[in-house]
Parts: sequence; structure tokens; C-alpha cells
Amino acid sequence: MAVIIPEEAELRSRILAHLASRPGNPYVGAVWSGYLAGLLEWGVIDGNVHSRLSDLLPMAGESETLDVMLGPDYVDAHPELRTGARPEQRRPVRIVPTSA
Amino acid sequence: MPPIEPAKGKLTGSLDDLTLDEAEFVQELLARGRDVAVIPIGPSRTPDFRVDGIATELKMLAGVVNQTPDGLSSALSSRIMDARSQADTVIVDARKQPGMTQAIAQRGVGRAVGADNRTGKRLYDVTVLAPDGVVSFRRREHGRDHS
Repeated sequence: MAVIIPEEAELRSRILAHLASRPGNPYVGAVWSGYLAGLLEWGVIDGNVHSRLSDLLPMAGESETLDVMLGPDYVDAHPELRTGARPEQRRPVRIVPTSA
Repeated sequence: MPPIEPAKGKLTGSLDDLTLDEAEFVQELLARGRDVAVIPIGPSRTPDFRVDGIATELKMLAGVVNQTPDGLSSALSSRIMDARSQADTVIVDARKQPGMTQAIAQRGVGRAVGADNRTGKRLYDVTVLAPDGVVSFRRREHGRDHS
């Protein structure tokens, strides 16, 4: 099976377009958070790419994404993780409507 | 038993309070020319380390019972996440962990770095020694550079 490594720019474009097409829908950010976690764990993207792309996402599904990465038992034992990233760490996302 | 190589790096402090595995690892770092400082911080706590002047958390991973890829990568990610509260530079020696491979270590580092990216980006430099190779991560947007 051929594995195609996605370009960071492609992923960035898809994330921003999805966020723009579903403004205010928290599931968009949560789904992409899980998607990026999978790409990172399986070595498709590296940690720095994951970091930059994660910064595009609104705060949604943080705890569940941590469950995927660290396991629910570890997250339950470290409740401080559930507070997620500090808000000031996130860059503002400018939502640009996409044309049909 | 092969002869012990003379230390090339400089040791500051004592190896007395370290576990055998930790002491061996420090000796190995010294043999590779790294300067290591062992800083005692209390009677009931593991000493801090500075490697080449950088605060570094050294962790050993050897006794994981669940030796599936998920179990090992999960144990490694947990160990890295635990270490980040001590220092942003982390070295995990997993060479004695049965079942560990470079590929599994890569998964574990990815799981930890991904979680760290979502919870404060406190990890700067992570190195994992697996039986068949080394896995490393260095944050490129940390705002400082140790080098």
C-alpha cells in the first residue's frame, strides 16, 4: 500500500476551510484534533507540524484527544491536563468564508 | 566483561544516590564526552541532572509488563509526560525494556508530544534510547535554543 505524506500546507488549508464552512461548530475542531493526533502517532507528521496545525484549532475535544494520546487512565490520574492549553497560547484564527 | 572506558566528560557531584541503571547511564554519558552534574535535592527524591549545563530529566523504562505496542508506547508517553514537570529536556533510556523498538518508541514520543502540544508545550527536547536506535524530538518554536 502506497503511503502519501500530506503537506503541512494542504492540511492547514483543509482545516481553515472546514472551520470557515462550519463557524461555531465545536465538533470541527474536535474531529481535527483527533485526526492530527493519529497522523502524529503513526509518524505521518512530526511534532512540530502537529504543534503548528493544532494552534489553528479552537478549544474543543481537548480531554477526549488527550484520552486518545495518553489513555483515559493516565488523564484521569492527572486532572490538571483537562484544563488544556493556556488560552493565551492559542493564536487567533481568522475565519475566511470560502466561495462555493 | 569489557573494560570500562575512562570518563571523557566531567562529573560534578556523586553517583552514590543513583540507582544502578542511572549510574551506568551517567557513566555512559561521561564516556561519550558529555559533562554531567548530579544535583541532590533531598533525601527522598531523585537527584536532578544537568547534562552539558542543561537541566535534564533522566528516566529509565525497563519494567513495563504490558509489552504490546500500545502498552509500551503508552508507558513511554506517560513517562515523558511525568518528566516534563521536572525539566523541558528529557532523556528516556528504554534499552533494557523487553519488547521496545525504535518504531514503538517513535509512537510513544508522538503520543507525548501531541499531548504536550495541547497542554502548554512544555517539552523542548526529548530523546529516547531504544534497543535498536534513538528517537528524538526538538521543538522548533520554543523561543530559545540550547545549542
